[in-house]
Amino acid sequence: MQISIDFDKCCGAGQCVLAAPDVFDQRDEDGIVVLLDDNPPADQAENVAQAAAVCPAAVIQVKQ
Amino acid sequence: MTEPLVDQPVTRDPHHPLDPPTEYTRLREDQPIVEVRFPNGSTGWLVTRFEEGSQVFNDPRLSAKRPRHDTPEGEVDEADEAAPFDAGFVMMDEPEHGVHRRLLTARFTPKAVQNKLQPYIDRIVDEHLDAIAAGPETFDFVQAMALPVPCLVICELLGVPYEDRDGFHEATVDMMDMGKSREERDKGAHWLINYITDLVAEKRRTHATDGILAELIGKTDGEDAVLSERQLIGLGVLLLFAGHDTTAAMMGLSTLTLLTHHEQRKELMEHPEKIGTTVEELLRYLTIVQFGLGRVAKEDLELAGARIKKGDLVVVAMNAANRDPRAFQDPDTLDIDRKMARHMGFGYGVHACLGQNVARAELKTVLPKLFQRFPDLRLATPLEEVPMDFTGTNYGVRKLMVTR
Repeated sequence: MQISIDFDKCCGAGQCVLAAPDVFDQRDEDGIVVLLDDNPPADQAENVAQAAAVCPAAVIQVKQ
Repeated sequence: MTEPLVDQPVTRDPHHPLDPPTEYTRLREDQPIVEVRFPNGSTGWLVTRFEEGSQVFNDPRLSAKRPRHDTPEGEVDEADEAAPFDAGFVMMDEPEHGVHRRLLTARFTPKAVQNKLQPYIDRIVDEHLDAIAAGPETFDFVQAMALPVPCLVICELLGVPYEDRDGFHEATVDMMDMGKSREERDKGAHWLINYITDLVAEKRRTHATDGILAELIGKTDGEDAVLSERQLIGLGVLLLFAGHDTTAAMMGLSTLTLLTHHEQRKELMEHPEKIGTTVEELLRYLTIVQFGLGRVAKEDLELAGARIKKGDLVVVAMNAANRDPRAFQDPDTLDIDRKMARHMGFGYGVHACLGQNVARAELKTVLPKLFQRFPDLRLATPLEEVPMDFTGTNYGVRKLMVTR
């Protein structure tokens, strides 16, 4: 799985961090998403899909 | 022959106070987008479906810099420059929007809210529950909990003295009530502007470091200033009214909803771990933003088959979209077990509510504690007699008499 993010459009809501805390974090200074692992293991697939789906700005793209 | 335009706003059915106007259901099932006439006489478009609404909020060809569409009948549009205060990032597009919003986002992440705000929320909610237990058996939940808790939280975040709450809440209600005249609403806005202006002066004088307002002063003064003085005051006003009135409305309405949905309340009381999905479902089901949010086309474009012209105003009725059967199974049923990825309760796209995690934290704290502490809590008046706020920008209850 390959994750890409449109960082310019991130609105810092942090819903991705709640959905997949092993894959996403937020910068302390402005809440912008931090990708901890752009190619996470298969057992993260469900969480990552959830993170992409809940993102209000739809900035997370996942390619299998 | 062209069809007559649909006049806005359409009214709710007072017998179904928790549902969006029935007219929206008809419009949504008829077509995804319809041409409408707003109360001030201007015309535009109304989107009532979820998918098409999401597209509007995520399309960079539609600008957030928009005129008002929800003012009372006959009122002339207010040009942005003539607005009493600068609405800041709310009315900006990228990349300017991101620069301004990111001055604030760090304080509103789930982690920041959990670490810095949650202990405070727990404490004040417990104190207010104690006060309810010590007071009369029948009481107004709005005054006892739904209003004071969000006021305390926004005061803590911004660095605003809580003893000023009556003043800023009254001014907010005046400003947001579309049932009031322009003069009355402007009076509310000017009260808030003067209040924040004085508070900023006081914070500058004392070199305060107590919260977001003090931080924003740091972004206004000095060499690398990002904000103008008008923008600083505008942000203070925006955060103060938007930060308390929304959550207060949602808390009162959520409590009323659970008090009238006995099976769902029982389920939550037996399974407090379901509070996360309960709150998301309440946000979807209730969608307090009553008259929708607008965007303006920056160019000619096509949207769901409609030809939108440059300059046209497109309003998304989020309360209708959040009940769209194409997006939600059995959408008019409140289901705290609902599995859903997203809803429009906080808007959508890059402008999605900045304070959403604060609102979630307050609702997730108050609702379980309330029903745990007072398991027999019930309405003290019939549902039909609960005074609903049909004219406020945020839908809610004006008063909620309950018996513990």
